[in-house]
Amino acid sequence: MMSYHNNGLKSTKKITLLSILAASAIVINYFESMLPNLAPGVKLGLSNGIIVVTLSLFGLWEALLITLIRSVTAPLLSGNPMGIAFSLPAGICSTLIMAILFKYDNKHFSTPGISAAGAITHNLVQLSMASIMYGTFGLFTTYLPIMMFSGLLTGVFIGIMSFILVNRIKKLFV
Amino acid sequence: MRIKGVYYNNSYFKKGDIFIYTFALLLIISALIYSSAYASGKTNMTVVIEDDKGEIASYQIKGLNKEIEYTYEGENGEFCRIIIDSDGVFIEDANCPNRLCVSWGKITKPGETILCLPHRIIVRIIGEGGVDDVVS
Repeated sequence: MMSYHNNGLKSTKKITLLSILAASAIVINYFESMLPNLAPGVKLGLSNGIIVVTLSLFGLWEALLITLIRSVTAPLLSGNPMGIAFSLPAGICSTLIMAILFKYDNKHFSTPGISAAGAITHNLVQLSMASIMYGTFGLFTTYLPIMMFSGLLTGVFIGIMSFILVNRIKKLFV
Repeated sequence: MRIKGVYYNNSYFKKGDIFIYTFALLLIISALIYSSAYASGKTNMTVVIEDDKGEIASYQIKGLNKEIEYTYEGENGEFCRIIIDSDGVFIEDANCPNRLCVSWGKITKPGETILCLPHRIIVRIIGEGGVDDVVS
């Protein structure tokens, strides 16, 4: 049998699936920005689930591509181009951390745990970017507890959701 | 045709997750300890309002017997109404798109900060005095 890619997925199907994932990441991000804010930095982070799905189905480079597309498009869609300065580094760092954890040992980390690590990284990098841009360390002590806590909760929740989604997509393509 | 998946897990919890959750909880706890240590013993609290060019206003909180209303007005019609009273400061109204600063509520302890990202406004409480003044 001929193998096409590292995961045996035919090119056309791969492109289609990747573009569906990219499109849903953008749309989910956009709808999420319409939800009322509970507190600064507290977000459901549903589009992080798409990154987790891409990561577990394809791998690092595909996930980075989706991250890039989402992090650049989402702030532009919500009319806040300055947001790229926050979303791009945060997105890339969280994708890298999740890829390392997946690759390093997926015997020892579960998808919800990895997703939580991604969410925490995302929030930490966003806080660091804001602190660098505004030159105040006070941001850390004020915002870190609630951002970490919410990142932990939503990360685990998103992880469970994407775990289910990954298994559904796999069944769909059997 | 079958997707095997590059990385595959088959459970909702594994031992390594404990490290991730512990790391996050340690970060939360250390931030809380740091902020309470910073705030303790600071009796003279000053509210400082800054924009991207620097400080634009500052008010002593101690002995304040009425509310102070400070309205920031930017060049392009942006505004930010900041209320300072005897125990803290909060942003009452602003015309930024996400209004995170308004939803953050009141800050009361030294070291706490409210940030308005779209308008680039920082409101923070600076603490001075107290017993450990010499040390710090």
